[in-house]
Amino acid sequence: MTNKELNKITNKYIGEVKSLIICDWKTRKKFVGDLKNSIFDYVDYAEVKSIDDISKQFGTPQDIARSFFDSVDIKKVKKRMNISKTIAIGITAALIIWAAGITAIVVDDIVHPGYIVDEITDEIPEGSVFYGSTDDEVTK
Amino acid sequence: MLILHLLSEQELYGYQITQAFDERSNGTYTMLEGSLYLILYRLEDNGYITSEVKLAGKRRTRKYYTISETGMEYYRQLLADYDEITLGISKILGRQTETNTNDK
Repeated sequence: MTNKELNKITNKYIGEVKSLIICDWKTRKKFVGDLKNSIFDYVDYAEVKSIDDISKQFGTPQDIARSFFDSVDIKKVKKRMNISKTIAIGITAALIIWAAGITAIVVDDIVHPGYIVDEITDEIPEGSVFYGSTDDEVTK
Repeated sequence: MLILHLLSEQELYGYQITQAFDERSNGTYTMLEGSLYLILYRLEDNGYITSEVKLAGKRRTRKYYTISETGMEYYRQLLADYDEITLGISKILGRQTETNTNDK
């Protein structure tokens, strides 16, 4: 078998394993690296022509996934679930506060509409007071 | 316990461990290499074994595992527990007495 063919079936096997195992990314990266190295090592001792030959030595992807599942630390899973729950509650609370704020602004705008200036002219409205003016009539 | 026993004799890598299981048990006990690594990781996390990456060939590497001092103590404890359990089971089955065990 050529290196290219071996790479192909190894990557296919590893891909199936990766899609099934449940673990943190660190363990996944470590395990996949070790598994790949071991497969290439195994080829020195035995003839590997297909994924079945790899599965005979290493286990089927399902066997490996099962062993991961069996080794799950329930306390760690529970701790992670609690952290996820806390984050979800925090995000929900932040969204509610933000929505309440937007609603308050909109309602306030409806109840107390602002003044909109249609146009600016040079005419001085009647009754306007000017401070610091030198015009005697106005100062009076 | 079996893995620690093998590593107490010499440092081994994954394939060697699975082969040792197969050869010593005459094919009765097989360890799939894919499942072996999780056990090795757990043993390493607990400080019972250490690992060392060594060059194997031109571009390939191999991870060799060795038992630690803590691992040896833990292995001896496991062995003692195993002896106690098997003796208890043998007594229930009426196959072995304490005298016979001492003779061994």
